[in-house]
Amino acid sequence: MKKSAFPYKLMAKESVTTLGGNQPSAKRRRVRVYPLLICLFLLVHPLALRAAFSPRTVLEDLYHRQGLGEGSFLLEIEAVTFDGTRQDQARIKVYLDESGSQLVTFEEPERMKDDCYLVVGYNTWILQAGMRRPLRISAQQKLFGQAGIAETVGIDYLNDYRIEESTETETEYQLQLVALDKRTAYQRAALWVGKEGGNIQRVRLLAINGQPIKELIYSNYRSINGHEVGEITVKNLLMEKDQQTTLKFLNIVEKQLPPAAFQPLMMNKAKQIIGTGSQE
Amino acid sequence: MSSGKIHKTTVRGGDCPHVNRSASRQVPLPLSVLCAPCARTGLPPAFAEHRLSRLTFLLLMLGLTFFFLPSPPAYAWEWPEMDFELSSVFSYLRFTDDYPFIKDHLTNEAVFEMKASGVFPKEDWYYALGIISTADASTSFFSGCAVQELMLNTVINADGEDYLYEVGKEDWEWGKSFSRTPTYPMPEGYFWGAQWTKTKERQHVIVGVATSTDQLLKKQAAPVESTSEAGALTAWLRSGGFLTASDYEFVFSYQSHAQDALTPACYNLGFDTSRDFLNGLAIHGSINLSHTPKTNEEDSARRVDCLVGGEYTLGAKVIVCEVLHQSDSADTSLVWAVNNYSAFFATWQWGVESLWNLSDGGRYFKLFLEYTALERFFPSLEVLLFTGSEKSKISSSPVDLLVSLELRAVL
Repeated sequence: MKKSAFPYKLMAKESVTTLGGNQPSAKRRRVRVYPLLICLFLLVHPLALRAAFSPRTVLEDLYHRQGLGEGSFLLEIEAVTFDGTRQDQARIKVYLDESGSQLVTFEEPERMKDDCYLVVGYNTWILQAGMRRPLRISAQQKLFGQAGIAETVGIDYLNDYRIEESTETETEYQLQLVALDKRTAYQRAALWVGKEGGNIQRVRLLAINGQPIKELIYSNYRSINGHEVGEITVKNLLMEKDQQTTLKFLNIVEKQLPPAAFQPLMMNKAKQIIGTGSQE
Repeated sequence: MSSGKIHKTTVRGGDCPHVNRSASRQVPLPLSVLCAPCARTGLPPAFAEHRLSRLTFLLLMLGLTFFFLPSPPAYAWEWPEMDFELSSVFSYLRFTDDYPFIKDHLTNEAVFEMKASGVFPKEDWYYALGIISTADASTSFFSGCAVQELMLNTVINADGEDYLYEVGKEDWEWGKSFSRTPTYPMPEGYFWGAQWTKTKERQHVIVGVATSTDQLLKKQAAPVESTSEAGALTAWLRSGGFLTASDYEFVFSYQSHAQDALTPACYNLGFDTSRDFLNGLAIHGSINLSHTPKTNEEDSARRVDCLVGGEYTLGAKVIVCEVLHQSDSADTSLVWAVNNYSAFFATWQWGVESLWNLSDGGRYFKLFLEYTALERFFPSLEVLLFTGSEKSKISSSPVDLLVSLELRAVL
């Protein structure tokens, strides 16, 4: 008789063949089956438990629900900076290319409308009003209060980091990440992902030696055109002052973007290139 | 971030240079600006000012009409985007003891700038027109007017390659340095020319030509009845690209008159590069080899200019340090600067910079401070101090202290 991996099928065949047969023999066979079932249960249960929490799966789920990994997009973001006494506000547009390049332009305030900056790989350039040529700037530069370039255009926890450690509590998952490339702006990151909703609640960005640099608090999650995003409040942990910057997503649309818009030599023509070469 | 525009302050008396504050506050005053009479802004002769005053007035009225008209006629082009800036500049000039007949005094100048940009209805050609007009409060309503920028350009994408065509009057400057780049052959300013740019992925090729119809060149050509054409023609070929965290560019350029109408043509070969170490530190360098062929009057000559510099980012502040060497004048200059120009939300934009000519001991210091918290009104203060050895080129300037208070309104 061909053995089946599924014990239920084996039992069913036995019950058909032994119908009206010797009762004591059937009882002994059922008794032998029970230990087998118990062993299988003990084997499968831990596996089932592990499948319920896979840190990689958690990151993949976050990545796909945000939905900015494939294609090109236009993100409209409002940045509000508070330094304890004064508040500043800016509205920016982030153009995300499918290759990962980012172009950031300003809509408000008026005095910044001619400013923009471009990120291509690990290269960052800035072009300000009155400048003929773009200048290379450091990726470490703080642009909106406490928010730097990396926080504004988004950190890719799935593809730029590996999971070093993960733990699970009753309400959340905690992931310790290490950057795959030493050129990444933040070499270590600690994520807290809520079980209810499956969204990031908090991120702590650290230096290679583990020193906390910034803390990102996520809140008010909502779906914008199928993209699940939340407000991000960025706090600088190196400074004692009450300074924070909040990034709020206003709109996300899929948008075809011409490659010329992501050329540093074309930065002062970026708005006209996007205006004529893109389609919504 | 407030925009920086070219403002001109006239230093009166004697052989006085115009102090030209660059459109980008990140570019310090070059030595040539302090030493030579400056006519590179192309201001027209006095007899044409009256006509240009009328023209400027008409253009202003036209611009304001476009600005306030509620909706364009159906047959009109797409409405241009208009920008207006009005500045009042109060400058205090302190003259050196070498000019005892000139008293320290205060000047006041009004500067009006209009910029219109938009797209033509066909072929996706974009245009940009910038006009700058100045008025001296103590004399006439208009003291000068110039078309600062008049640009037409279009971008074409074909087979994965992007082509940018530009023609008109523009500032063609390139480079990666805080101060002037040795590979850029022309002086500061806007010049008539054309440029073709091709980019593909991370590579680019640029071909351009520009002419500097400098008034100075015409004046110098006349006395010796030179048969050469007044006006310098400059052509360039640039090729380069950018890598993971660095970039490079080779530059070949030709100048028909390197310095004045009597200077023979020269050829330049240069290289620019920069690298970001992704830890806050970035470095850049530039070298230019210049060759002047042999002529009937002079032997061939070669010149090497080079620049090495770096910048370090500390939060919102940037610290810059550069060393520039020019072989023709045997000058080696050290430039350092600290500023927060890239901090978009800073209430105060500030910058401190200094240039120290290591060859003759001349120095200048510059302090810049601007209040940017208001939406459309930007007061700023700039202090320039020229000091150092008495025999230095910087000290040859008649002014050793210049304090400027600018009140700028964006309309």
